Amino acid sequence: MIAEPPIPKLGRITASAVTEVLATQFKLSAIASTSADKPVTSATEEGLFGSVTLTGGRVSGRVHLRLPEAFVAKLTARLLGQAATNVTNESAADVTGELCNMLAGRVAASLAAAGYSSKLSTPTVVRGHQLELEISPGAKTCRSDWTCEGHLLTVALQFSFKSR
Amino acid sequence: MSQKILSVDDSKAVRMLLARLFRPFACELFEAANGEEGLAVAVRERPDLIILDYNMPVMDGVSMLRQLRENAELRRTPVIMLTAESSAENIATVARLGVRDYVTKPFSEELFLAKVARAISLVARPTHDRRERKPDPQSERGGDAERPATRDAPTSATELAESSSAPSAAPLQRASVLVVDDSRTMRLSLTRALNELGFDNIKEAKNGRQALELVLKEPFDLMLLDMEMPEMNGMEVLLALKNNPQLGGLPVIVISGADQIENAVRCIEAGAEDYLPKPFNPTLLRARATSSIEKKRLRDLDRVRLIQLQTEKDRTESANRLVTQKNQILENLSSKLSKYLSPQIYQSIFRGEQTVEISAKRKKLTICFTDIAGFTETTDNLESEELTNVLNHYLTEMSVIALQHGATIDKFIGDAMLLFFGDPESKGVAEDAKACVLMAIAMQRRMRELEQEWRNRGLLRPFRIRMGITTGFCTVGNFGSRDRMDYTIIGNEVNLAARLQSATEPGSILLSHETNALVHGLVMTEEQPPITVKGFPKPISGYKLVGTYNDLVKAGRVVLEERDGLHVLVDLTKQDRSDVIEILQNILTQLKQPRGKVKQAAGAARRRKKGEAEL
Repeated sequence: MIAEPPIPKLGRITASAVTEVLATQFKLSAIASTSADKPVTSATEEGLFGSVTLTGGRVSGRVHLRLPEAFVAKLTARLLGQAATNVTNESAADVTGELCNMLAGRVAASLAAAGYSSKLSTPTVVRGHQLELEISPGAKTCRSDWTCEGHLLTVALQFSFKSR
Repeated sequence: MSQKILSVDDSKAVRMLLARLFRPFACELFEAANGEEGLAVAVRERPDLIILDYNMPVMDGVSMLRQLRENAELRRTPVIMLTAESSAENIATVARLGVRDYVTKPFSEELFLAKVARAISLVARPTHDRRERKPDPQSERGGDAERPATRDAPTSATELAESSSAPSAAPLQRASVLVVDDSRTMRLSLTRALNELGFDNIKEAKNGRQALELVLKEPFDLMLLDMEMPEMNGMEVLLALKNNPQLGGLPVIVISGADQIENAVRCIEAGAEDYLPKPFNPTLLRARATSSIEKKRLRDLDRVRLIQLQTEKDRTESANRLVTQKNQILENLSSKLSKYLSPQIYQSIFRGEQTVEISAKRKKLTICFTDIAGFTETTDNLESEELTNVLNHYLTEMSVIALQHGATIDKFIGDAMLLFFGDPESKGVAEDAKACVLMAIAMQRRMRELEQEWRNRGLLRPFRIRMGITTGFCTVGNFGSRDRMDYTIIGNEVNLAARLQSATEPGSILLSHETNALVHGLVMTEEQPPITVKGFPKPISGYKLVGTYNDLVKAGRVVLEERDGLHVLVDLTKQDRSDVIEILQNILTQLKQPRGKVKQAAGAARRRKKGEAEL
């Protein structure tokens, strides 16, 4: 009889994915935000939301990402070697999608290492204000705020795990 | 040859990122947003390398890869996957389809370029050619209007490294030469001579202005420059080249009549590489042209190496910055975490002397348990915020004293503190016991000083602390689970310290028998009635600490004289002064007698002390 792999810790997976993606691709560091931090952008101002669906035999769910517009402009400028003022809505949305895709890729790799393989969808990006998650029954949710370059980013993982 | 690279990714951001990465290299970059478009571009352009995403709409990377492998002309095209997908299954799938490499997003730009350089020869774009150029209908690729017109760059690190050890004919054939002379005959003559010497990439300009236009448009390895020309003469061309940092590396050989030798010297001073008199000697032309091109090749090689060094330096600096940032984060984090640990434990963990694993050892420690007598009643009339302030103030003050004396603060239990001496640092059992007792005295003294301060804050009844101290074997180490552990002590001695504490009066310190024995020369104690302690079969003797002998002497409470072989201690609170004087006079009398009598008298004194009858 094969032992059931334990449900992975989504908080750790998020932390590892966020820090790795920002450090490797953008050479930025992010720290978990606490109530004492005072970021220059707030969680309620307009931002971009990326989301990628992961689908596997024993796990399914989504990786959500919320980025403030000013931060997306900074990331886009850094990634594409442009001035932040020249960033278009299209390229900002594209960078948000790509960042979410990279995060989802890292999350998928961590889940696979824990015995839960999955495939990624292409990212979807929308604009809006606050990140509202629909709570699915039985799904595990982990939502965390991160401070990077003074901006507040929100990452949420919502996954359902099935036993064998 | 310039390399053609096809980037297939549905993310425009990634395609733009790749365009930025490849900008310094002499390559043509083509883009496609999905596998279907990618295949069409690949069939049309025959790229030297394809960089392919995995997940894309319309046609994904694997489907495109399969179709590439079925195409006889494209099946050998190297493919590097650049994707966020990293599952073993996906990697195995594309590996079976023969991908050259697999890079997962996020990716290090430097490592990605290194992998590209392993797949194809990456050629650095010449400095003055790093801007977009329109297709040149005169060039050898002029017919292909869809291709960006980038000239074959001669500055590939690989090519240059190879050619440095190859026969000189090879670089000559590849070298491009610009002949600048207002005389058509002279231009033809030079071109023919150069062709005979093995140069086959030669262009001509009939004056200095035209020459400058050409060198700004495309890179050359050598310029043969006449001095006297209409519109712009040779000297003006040299000065213009000298003033343009992008063109400063182009070697120029001045072709000049023998009567213009002085001008030629001035030209060399203005930056010309060499001088060739008219009519020119083909052997001399070959020697000087080869020498100039070789020098340029070496300069280009230096430049490429400089770029490589700069890239490495940037990468190292970037890695260092990342390490510094991480260190800063770790330092901040460890600084926050250290507040939850006794400094000795924190420091010994950080020095690597203390293992962070479940393990413990038996060790003889001196343990101190302190508690505020009637804390609840004393603080009943305080608001919770004020209570927190007072309690934190008390614990902070006591912790400072504890750390000054070398105590390990095991834990705070409400208003109580458990401290111990002897681990992880120890000065020996006796010294540890002395340090503990001195700490307890200092704490009591500080409490008296704080009394007035707390009264001013509204604490009507001052705090009084009770302290119990014992010495004995305990189990000390890490207890808990692998995820959450505490460095603490366990054993009967901990209970005994707590019991001694509760048995003593507020404001006092009670020592166990063993601690008392270890500190007897340092402090004066008074034996108390034995107490019964759960877990100990016999009643326990307690010794109430009176004070250090030094303090008691200063206060006039005791008289103490100590020499080698002499110890006189008089507790004036227990002895009547006249009795003491009488005893001492008696001793004086004995001391004044001859030696043998003193012995007898001393013997008699000993017998009296033991209660023996004096005969």
